[in-house]
Amino acid sequence: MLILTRKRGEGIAIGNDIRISILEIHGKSIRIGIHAPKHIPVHREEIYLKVQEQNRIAANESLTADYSSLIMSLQQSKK
Amino acid sequence: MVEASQVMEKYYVKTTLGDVTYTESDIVLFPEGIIGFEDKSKFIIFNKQGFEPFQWLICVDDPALQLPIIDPLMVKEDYIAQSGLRELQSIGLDDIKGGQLFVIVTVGKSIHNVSANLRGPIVINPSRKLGKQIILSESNYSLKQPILAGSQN
Repeated sequence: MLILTRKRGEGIAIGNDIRISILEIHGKSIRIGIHAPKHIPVHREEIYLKVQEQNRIAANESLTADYSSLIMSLQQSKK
Repeated sequence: MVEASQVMEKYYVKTTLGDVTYTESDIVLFPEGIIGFEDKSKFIIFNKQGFEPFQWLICVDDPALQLPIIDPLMVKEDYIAQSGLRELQSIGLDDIKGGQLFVIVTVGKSIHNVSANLRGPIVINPSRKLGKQIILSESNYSLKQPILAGSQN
C-alpha cells in the first residue's frame, strides 16, 4: 500500500482524472472531497462490502431456491 | 428490401428457472456491472408466470448469475430511494423518479428467511435500457429486510 501524509487543503491525484482533497479534519473524522469521472463508482467502503456480500449470497441462494414453495407460502401468509 | 430484416432475432439462455428467450431489445446494460459482479453487464428482466411478485435479473453472458428482484414497495410501502445526481447521470437519469426501482431478494429455507436489500436498490432507466445498483448511504434501510411483515431475521 502506498502511504502518503497530507495536510488540510492538500490533495492526491490518481491518474489523469481522479483527485482526492482533504477538506476538513475534526478530531477522528476527516472530510474528503473526491473528483472522479461519473463512470467510476465511489462508495463508503464498509457499506460497499456489505452490499457486495449480500449480492453474492442472493446469487448463490437463488440457484438452489424452491421458488414454487416460497410463492405458495407467501400466498398463504397473506390470506 | 425484405421486411424480415426488421424482425428481432431471438436468443435463449438455460437457467435453473428454465429456458429463457429474449431479444436484443430486452437487454438492460449495467455499464458498471452489479456490486460484486462488476464484470457482468448485460442483463434481462425475466418474468415467470405464476411466480409473481418475483422477477429475476439474469445475466445473458452468464446465466448462472440470476438475482431475484422485487418491487421495493411490496416490501415497504413507504419506500423512498434518494440518490445523488452523480450516481444517476451514468445511466442517463436526472431524477430517480424517472427510473424503475427494484430490490434484490435473498431467499432462504422458508418464506420467513426471505429478505430484500432495501439499502442497495437497482435503478433502471427504462427508455435507455441502462441500469445500475446504487447504495443509499444516508438511509437506515436494512440490507436484509424480511419480506413478510413480522418475520424474524
